[in-house]
Amino acid sequence: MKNLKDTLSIAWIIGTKDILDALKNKSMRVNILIMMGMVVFFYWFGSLRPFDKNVNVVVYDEGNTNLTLEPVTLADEAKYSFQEAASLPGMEQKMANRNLGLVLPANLDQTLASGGTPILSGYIFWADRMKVAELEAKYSQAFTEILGQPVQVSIGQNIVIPQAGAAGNHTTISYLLIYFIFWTALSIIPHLILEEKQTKTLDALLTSPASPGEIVLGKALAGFFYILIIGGLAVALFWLYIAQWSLALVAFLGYALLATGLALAVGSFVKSPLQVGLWTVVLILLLEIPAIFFMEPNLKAGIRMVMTWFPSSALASLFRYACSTGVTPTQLWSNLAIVVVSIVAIFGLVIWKVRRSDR
Amino acid sequence: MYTIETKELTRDYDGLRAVDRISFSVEPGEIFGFLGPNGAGKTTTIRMLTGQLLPTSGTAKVAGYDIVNERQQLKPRIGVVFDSQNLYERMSARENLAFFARLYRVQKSRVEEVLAQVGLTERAGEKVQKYSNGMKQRVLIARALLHKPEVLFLDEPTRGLDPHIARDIRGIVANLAKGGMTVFLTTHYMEEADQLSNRVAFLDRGRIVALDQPARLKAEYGKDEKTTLEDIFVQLTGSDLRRGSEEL
Repeated sequence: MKNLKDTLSIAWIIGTKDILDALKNKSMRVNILIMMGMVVFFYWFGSLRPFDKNVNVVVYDEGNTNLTLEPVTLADEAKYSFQEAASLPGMEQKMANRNLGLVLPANLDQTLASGGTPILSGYIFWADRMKVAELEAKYSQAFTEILGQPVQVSIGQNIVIPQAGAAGNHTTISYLLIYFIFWTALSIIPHLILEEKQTKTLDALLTSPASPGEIVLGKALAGFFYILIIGGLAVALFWLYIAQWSLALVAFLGYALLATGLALAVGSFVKSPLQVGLWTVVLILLLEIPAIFFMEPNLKAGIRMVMTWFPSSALASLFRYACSTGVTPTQLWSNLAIVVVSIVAIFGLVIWKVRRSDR
Repeated sequence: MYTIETKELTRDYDGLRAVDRISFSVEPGEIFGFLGPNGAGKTTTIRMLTGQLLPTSGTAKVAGYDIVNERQQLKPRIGVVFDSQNLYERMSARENLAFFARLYRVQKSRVEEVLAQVGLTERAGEKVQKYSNGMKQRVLIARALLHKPEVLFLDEPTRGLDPHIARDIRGIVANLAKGGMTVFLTTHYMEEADQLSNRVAFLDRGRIVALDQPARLKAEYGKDEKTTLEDIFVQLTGSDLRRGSEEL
């Protein structure tokens, strides 16, 4: 009987062969590069938005000042719009999709009348925490222009971590990750298996000391490697959104394992690259649609319930929790349970199929 | 003790019997020719004997190991040259062999030994996709020999090769048998089987219809001294094909 070390060693040998061989395969190289390009594009498009000149401000007026803030376009073409909040927590909540929270101090009218420089407390999102000084300067200049006299916006430690369940850029990232990771897995792993079947090199592997399970594990390792590259790139670019790294790691592992299992299942069952392509599209849609729409407030309760049970929705929730605060144990464990059960089920299906390969 | 021993080995596919209760044994160091028309069950038999396919019923032992219950122990003791040229085409011959050497846990130096044995040392660094069929066949044989197996299964090793390369391959096989390796050979070329095999078995529709030394088969079934193994093969096998052509 082989021990675990032997099994891992053989899987590693097969996995490293596939990692290198995939780089020699033009279509796989193109797939990997396209996916890396997509990650970078979505990062640029979704979070940098160099063309977006809109600044949304949620204002909490501590002293009911006489100041009225109307939408305005500044000299640098930045468009500022304003929304009022009744309290500080209310302002933080409303900031969900806003760039800036602003507290107008109770003595603002007097300070402005005396020609002094009022200090406004600014609140920014967790993801912007590395840009405090830059944003302080930017907003001070903007409000000086809006109010017509010197104003200082002070952010300091006023960093707002989104509440669990609140929408925002991190929500978009949670389902972008599904696309990046599952697409990577489905465009690599099934082809690794299928190519071995079509060229009959699988027969050579099956008569070598490698068992069917070790062959599948080797393919999983190779796929996992490329998932780490693509997913790692995404996490590296979007890391500023993550507030709880341990939870982010769990979510990432969940994405990677489920994607690997699903891709292995596709590779084990389908018989042609065309079928792989079709299944990839169907599965990505099946995973993405619930993950994107299950938080829609206007969704019927029954449909929402069904969508919540999809593993992709649970994974998206886990990632969002990693970017949030105030997650309840029930929210965390119920989603984690869905993910774990799904991973176990899909790997069970793959193992069942592989064990029947000699029948 | 026999190197290969089967008893009533049977395999069904979707209700069709591909291999029908075949029993035979192969001595150590013997070249055993396993001959039959297309679809007779040769490859299915090899797939069962090499642990890739479970038999529907019957038993078999190869190198002393049961093909159902001791497959993992069996694998390091057999080498297989498949009927397809199943190599990693984007890798060089040396990389192909180095990969399998790692799986079989044999020394890296063994890769160069087998490359020399099949006469491929000089071009071993080139990608396999640039190789001719003959060169690929040599790589397949080198791969099967990497771990010095006790039994070598050769499924149509000279099919589609030009006569010079085919002769070289036959020379390699004969030398291996001289060195004590047991060879299980399937081929369509009766002359090749006659020349190489100590004994041959004729398979027809999954059943062994004759099994003996080529000379004795010719003596038993032949009409005169000019009778070839091919004449006997045509006489004993391919009954479906013959019936089909008669109907035409």
